[in-house]
Amino acid sequence: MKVDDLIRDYFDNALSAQDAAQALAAISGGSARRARQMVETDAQLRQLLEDFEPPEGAEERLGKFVRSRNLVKAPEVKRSRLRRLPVSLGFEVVGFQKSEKPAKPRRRRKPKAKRPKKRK
Amino acid sequence: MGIPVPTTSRKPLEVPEQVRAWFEHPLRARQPAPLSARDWIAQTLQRHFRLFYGIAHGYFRDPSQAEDMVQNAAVKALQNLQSLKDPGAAVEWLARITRNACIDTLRESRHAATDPPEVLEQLAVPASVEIYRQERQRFLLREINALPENLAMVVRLRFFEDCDVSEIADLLGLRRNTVEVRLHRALKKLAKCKSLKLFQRQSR
Repeated sequence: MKVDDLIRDYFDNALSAQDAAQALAAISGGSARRARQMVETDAQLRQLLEDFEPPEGAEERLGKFVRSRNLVKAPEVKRSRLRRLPVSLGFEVVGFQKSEKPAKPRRRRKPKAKRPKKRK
Repeated sequence: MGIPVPTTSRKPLEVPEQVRAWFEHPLRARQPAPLSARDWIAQTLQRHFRLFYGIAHGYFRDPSQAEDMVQNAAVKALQNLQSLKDPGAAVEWLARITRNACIDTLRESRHAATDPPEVLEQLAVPASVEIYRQERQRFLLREINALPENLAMVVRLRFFEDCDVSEIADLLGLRRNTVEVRLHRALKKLAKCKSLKLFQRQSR
């Protein structure tokens, strides 16, 4: 079996770390040595983080927190000042249509270019 | 090295039809997110909680502070749900929000008051082997956080979620070869980290 295949099998969880390391030890060469180091590092990291657990009940607490409040922001519809006025009044204004169209951005005047000072 | 091989068969992130329809709607930015989207985010956060908590714990020593950080990230995610383009990439998106929330808080706390002296004294003395082990884990998490984000995400899914290469590829929407390359690079970098070297020395 080639080194690449062994590594692939190991990362696919089809081969245990021990078996992969043994098989790689039987193969001579730099790539097999490097692959064995990689397998060992992976196994050690997994062992170190094996018992890493969040505090008890933290998942449920988070789930409850997310579901308990309406944290989703309502989308903001931009209106011009004139259009905002009837909305803020709190009663219907005849002839005013609450449109969903967002307000157009204001055009800005181009700043005038400064004239270069004349040198005397 | 007698580590059991996990036999989990994980599917890529499931997105309910109603939520997907909302995400695919052309006028999504103007429509409020449906309640099912909130439920779906809550489910995703709960399912991958170990991953998000792992990110936060790498930045904060205190477990309760790390938990708070994940909650903050959840709030930020829900408030900006409209900016998520691909619901299939929600795990990566939430992980990035968690990481950014932690970095922001750390930046703010640099100018804030430090812990009271009695709390600092408690933290300075390692009370037991358990605390020592937790500290070592935290150092390792910090080293994972220090990796470039694309490598760190692959490592997190591998060690917190016990995913194999093809499952990681499915979750992140990457090619299998890309995941393998990222995993190789990350392991090569992590092999040099101090907490792992300490572990190797002790296990000999």
